[in-house]
Amino acid sequence: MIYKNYIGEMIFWGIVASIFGLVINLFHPNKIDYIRKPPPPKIEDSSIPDFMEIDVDTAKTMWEMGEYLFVDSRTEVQYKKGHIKGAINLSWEEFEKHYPKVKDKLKTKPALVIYCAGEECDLSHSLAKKLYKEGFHEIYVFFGGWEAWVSENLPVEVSQ
Amino acid sequence: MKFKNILLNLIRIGLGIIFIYAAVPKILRPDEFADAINNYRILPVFLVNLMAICLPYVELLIGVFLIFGFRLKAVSFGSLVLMMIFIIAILSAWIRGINVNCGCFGKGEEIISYKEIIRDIIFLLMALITFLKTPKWRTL
Repeated sequence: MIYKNYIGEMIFWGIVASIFGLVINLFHPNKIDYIRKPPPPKIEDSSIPDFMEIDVDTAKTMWEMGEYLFVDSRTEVQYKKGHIKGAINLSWEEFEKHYPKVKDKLKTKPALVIYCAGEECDLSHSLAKKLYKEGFHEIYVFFGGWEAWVSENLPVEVSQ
Repeated sequence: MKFKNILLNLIRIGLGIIFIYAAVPKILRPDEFADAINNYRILPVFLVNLMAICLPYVELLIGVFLIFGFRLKAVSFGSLVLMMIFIIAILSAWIRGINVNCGCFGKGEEIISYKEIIRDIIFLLMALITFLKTPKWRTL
């Protein structure tokens, strides 16, 4: 093999390795879509009220009361690695796919507490709006989310 | 002279092991790696999964070639470029204050901090030394 330069050669090897990876993904037990689906568009609707935001202490109290269903809006992978004990997963990115499966569970408790990874992530607000439109009106957004919960050493569980 | 050669070989093989060690968990869990890339918010969404599928195999190839000393000039250059990309990605997330998991060695347990940046700079230097000290004619 004669190459003009090492840059061209590295590009060649990079393509070889990439094709290899693309083929293996077809048979991979944890295979993923080649093209990632974009998250659903943000909902802009002025008829939806602002949701009550709660901090970690309030979230803890609500969790202990047992009257609130905690909803994890992160991806399935993140949820499986660890989530607030008793929380169910409704990934915002795959809402259409997951919603029918958890719809009935959402109705088992009078109110929902939605959270995502942490303060900068706005998945929980998006999900809250979507669920409001689906008819769930008792919704709280736990803005500290998973990070705040873990840093307070509160009960978690792993499913896998 | 001899000592210098041993040291260079150690750096090259060490770098190869690091690349393989980083590639394997990503190859086993492309779904987790895709989430890790997505959290950096650098790539457009449609490229995230392609990157998660391809990049680990490029790392694996570079690691194996480094260890066996095969096509060294090219793959050491590749390792150099990858390390630069990783450092830029981590730095940009750090500067933007995004609390992302590094995803550097799969799993993604470590939240990025200056430690990851220093570690990657050490790897970058290893790649640079390997690249500069490989003569152009050296193939095998």
